[in-house]
Amino acid sequence: MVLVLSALMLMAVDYRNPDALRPVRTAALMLVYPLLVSVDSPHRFYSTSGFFASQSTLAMENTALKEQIQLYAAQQRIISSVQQENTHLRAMLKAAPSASYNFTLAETLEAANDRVRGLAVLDKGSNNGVHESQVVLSGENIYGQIIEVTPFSSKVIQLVDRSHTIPVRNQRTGERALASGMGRGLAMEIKNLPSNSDVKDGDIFVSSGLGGLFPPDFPVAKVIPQGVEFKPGAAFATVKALPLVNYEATRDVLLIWRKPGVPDPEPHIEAAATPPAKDTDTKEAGTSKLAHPKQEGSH
Amino acid sequence: MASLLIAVILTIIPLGEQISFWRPEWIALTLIHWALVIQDRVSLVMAFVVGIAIDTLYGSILGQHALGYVLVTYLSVRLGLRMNPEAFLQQTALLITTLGLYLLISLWVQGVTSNSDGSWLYWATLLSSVIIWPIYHALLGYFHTQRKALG
Repeated sequence: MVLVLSALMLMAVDYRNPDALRPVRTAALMLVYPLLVSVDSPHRFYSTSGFFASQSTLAMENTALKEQIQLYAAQQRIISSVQQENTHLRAMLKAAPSASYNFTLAETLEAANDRVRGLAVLDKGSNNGVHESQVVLSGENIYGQIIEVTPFSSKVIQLVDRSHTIPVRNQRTGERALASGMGRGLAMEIKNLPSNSDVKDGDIFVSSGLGGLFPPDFPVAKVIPQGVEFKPGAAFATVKALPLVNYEATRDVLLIWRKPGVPDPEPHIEAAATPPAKDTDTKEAGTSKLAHPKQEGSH
Repeated sequence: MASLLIAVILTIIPLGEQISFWRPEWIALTLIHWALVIQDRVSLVMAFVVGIAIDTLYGSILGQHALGYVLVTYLSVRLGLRMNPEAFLQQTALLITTLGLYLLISLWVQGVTSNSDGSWLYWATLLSSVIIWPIYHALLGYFHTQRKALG
């Protein structure tokens, strides 16, 4: 009876005020983390060790990756010079420096959970600098955000979770809307599109950046065929869109850190006087952001 | 309780989207098994702790599974004392009653916290649990008696 009462009380408290029980959740997550790792380990061995991959496949993959790296290296050079130019211009205009981002690779631990929730546990925690409401990417798409952190692991809420909503924008028309998750394996719902909106099948919704949490212009979801419905009399259109992340297959995700306005206009005004070539080098050595994930991710 | 640990692992092993509807309630089955075998020596606190762990893993509201497991254990101990624990039909009746109640309570809680997708497949787990029960019960019983014989 005492236990039943305490369970009821726990539920009541958790429902009213989820923040109050955060320590309990964190402690419990730390306790079950070994279990998660043990459940995940066969999967990890099978999929990531490459034990069963043939040599020719690996060689082919290797060549493709090398080509890609060269491509990215070339692009990176252009980007860094543009970035530098941007900083100079902003410094001249005395504008606040734009936000920039840092990346780290993390892996999700495979474990089942409630079908209507979209939650996953990552193998990076506050020891790696992960913090709450941090944005998680998968490739070039938004994966979700962190909702809970322990020293070694963290819990990420996916965009398809029933209690998650992200502000989006139609890439083609620029219309703003909200994309709400409906559960794993189900299409997301695009809300607040007026009934005279010109949304069509195949439209891609990208994050709008409103709210300041998610970075703008990352793809979120694509309208499914016959996914747009205008009900007569309804104020809003009913739009179904499939998330662009394949949540069943994705294991590697990117954690991003937003660096709000790096305050370094002064050194760069001085640097502008020095020859441009040397400046490029120091810039690359100092704040090269794309070199960082490679180091972190190659463990 | 190694069997509970195994049950937890079976509960969180990832399955495909469609098959996961048919995942039996391993932990509840284990608790019922122990309630029938060692009767009132089964620990309600254990059921509660496991429930909290599952709540954390599943991301459900804290206490949902804890409440369910405590009720399942309590009911099956009480009902188990009134019947012949090895009669198959009686066992099945007890199983359907307790698991049904557990699933119903879970559904209510999910409904209140708007975590339910309202699909009839929710009850598939009851069917699969009842089907798997004789095998699971016999297996757990086999290891239990063997350990007793050794010790």
